[in-house]
Amino acid sequence: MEDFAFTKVDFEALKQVDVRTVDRDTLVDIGTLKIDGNLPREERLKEFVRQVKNPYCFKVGKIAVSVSFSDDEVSFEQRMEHYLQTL
Amino acid sequence: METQNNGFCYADMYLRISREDGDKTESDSIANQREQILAFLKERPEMILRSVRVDDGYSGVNFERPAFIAMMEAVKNKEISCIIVKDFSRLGRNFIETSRYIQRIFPCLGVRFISINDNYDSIQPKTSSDNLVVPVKNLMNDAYCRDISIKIRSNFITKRKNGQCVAAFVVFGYLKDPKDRHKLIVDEFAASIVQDIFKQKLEGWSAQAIADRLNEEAVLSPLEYKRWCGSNYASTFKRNAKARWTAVSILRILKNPVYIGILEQGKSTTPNYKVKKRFDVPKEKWICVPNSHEAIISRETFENVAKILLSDTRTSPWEDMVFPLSGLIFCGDCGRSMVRKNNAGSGKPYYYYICSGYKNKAGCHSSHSIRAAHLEQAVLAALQQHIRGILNIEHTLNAIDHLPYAGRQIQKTDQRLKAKHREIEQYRDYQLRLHEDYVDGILSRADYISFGARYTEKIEEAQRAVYKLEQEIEQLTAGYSEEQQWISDFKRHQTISELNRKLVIELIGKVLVFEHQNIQIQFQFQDQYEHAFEWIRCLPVAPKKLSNRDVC
Repeated sequence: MEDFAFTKVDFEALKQVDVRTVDRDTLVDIGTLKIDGNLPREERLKEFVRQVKNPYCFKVGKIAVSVSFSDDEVSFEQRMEHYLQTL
Repeated sequence: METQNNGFCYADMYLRISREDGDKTESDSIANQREQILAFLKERPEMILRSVRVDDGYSGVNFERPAFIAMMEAVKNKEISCIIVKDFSRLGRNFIETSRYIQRIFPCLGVRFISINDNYDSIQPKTSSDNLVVPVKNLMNDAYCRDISIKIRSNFITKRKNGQCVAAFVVFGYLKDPKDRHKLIVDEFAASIVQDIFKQKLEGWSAQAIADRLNEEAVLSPLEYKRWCGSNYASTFKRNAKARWTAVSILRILKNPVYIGILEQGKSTTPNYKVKKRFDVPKEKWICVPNSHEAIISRETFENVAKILLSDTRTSPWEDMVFPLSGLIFCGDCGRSMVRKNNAGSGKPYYYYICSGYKNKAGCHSSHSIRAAHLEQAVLAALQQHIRGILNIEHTLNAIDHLPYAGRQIQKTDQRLKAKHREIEQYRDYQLRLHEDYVDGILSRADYISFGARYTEKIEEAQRAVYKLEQEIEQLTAGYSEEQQWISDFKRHQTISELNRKLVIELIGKVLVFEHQNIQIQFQFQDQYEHAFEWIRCLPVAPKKLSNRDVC
């Protein structure tokens, strides 16, 4: 875990991976990730990226999944908070 | 009936007043008009007064006035042969129509027309100056209305631009401020119903299902609620004895930006003061004022609902709600929506999605078929791991701890329960009065039974709603409501256990499906890796920089 050189992760390059052409065998199954919920947020984030290898492209079973994010300024936490307020 | 006999004639006096037209309350008062005409008749014993026709509060811009219509009926039936008014403006203020009556209709019907103050009597020989003066006088009378119309219209425009509400009745969820009738204040009771409607839409309910549920819970529809609050509101569209919630009324609420504080006015208008028919105004000409009053729905919720309303969804006949991903799944190649299908014919039935462009042979070359269960599992797993890995869970758990959820819900439900009890009391009161009227002989036995049955039905409906609300409060107090269960699950597992429509709508914009089981999930929040890693990267670097500077 300590060896993970997060500062060298090239997120721009990872983002460019095309889910239509990527070799599925090189992708990590996101269901197999083991992240300790007790870790502080930064550590969990590092663990997530270390284990998933490419946070923009992974697989779930037989399905290759790519994710993209929005350009607006709304954060994940804000969306969750709003969801909770509408309960 | 013979109206002219031996020099005698039967006459009606016509009296009209309208403050809207700028009539002077003193000289134009009904009493004053009557007095003048009676004095005129006193000197003319050959004229016999048949009826006094009074239109109190009717504008002279048009002739849609009950007393005037009745008088014209009497003319057509030859019951009278003479009409007497104080002046032309009492007959009407619409130049074209008034001239038509004086110069064409009255002569055609053979009726004599007298306007006392204008010194006009249709049977007197006309001088050339009469032919000029009469139209000019009518034109002047018309000008009054035109002038007032312009003043009122410009006053309304100013008020609308200032964010003041000029509507006679306010939208469901708000009340007029008793201190300032142009200001909207939140009606807590109705606002809670509006909030529930938005919430249910986000949960995946169709507009019809929401309406059905509200009717089942005997929640008063906007029209009935207005009347119940004592408002004099009436609608020509009301067909049933009790107006019910419909999909249309739900959609009208879901699309109305008044709930996020935007006041939209001037949506329809009349072409001029003479025409009463209303025409829609193009949207770009509406007067919209944001933040003119307190919002009862957040902008995010309103936008999420607008997104759902734009998407093409269908609720299965066997389900109450749409599927969590309905309307969000699109073909990654042609961009058309993916449709859910069932291969019921096979031994192991399952649901799958295929591209509608391919299914309808509309240009997509491949079916892009993907099993629904696999797709939903992929989205769920992606969301679960993102919540575990990148969400600032402490922030979210903190937000949960500060949620006034249970208390707020109990309060809301309790409010509704009290309102229902009041409603039952009111109906019982009506029943009692009905019985008194029957005993006093005011009401026939048949009417008493029919009205009584109607109130009994209303009471029973309200009692069923009371029972449901009481159960709801019990569940909330015990912490068994669906939302409370979700919160406790989330706290325990620190992630979600299943996809729910509301969360999907909040977090996901679209899911694109490519060939060979490849998908792309478009999240509705910003990329946090780069931000977070930027910050982490700075940690070891920052002290070094500082020490360098110290050396310098």
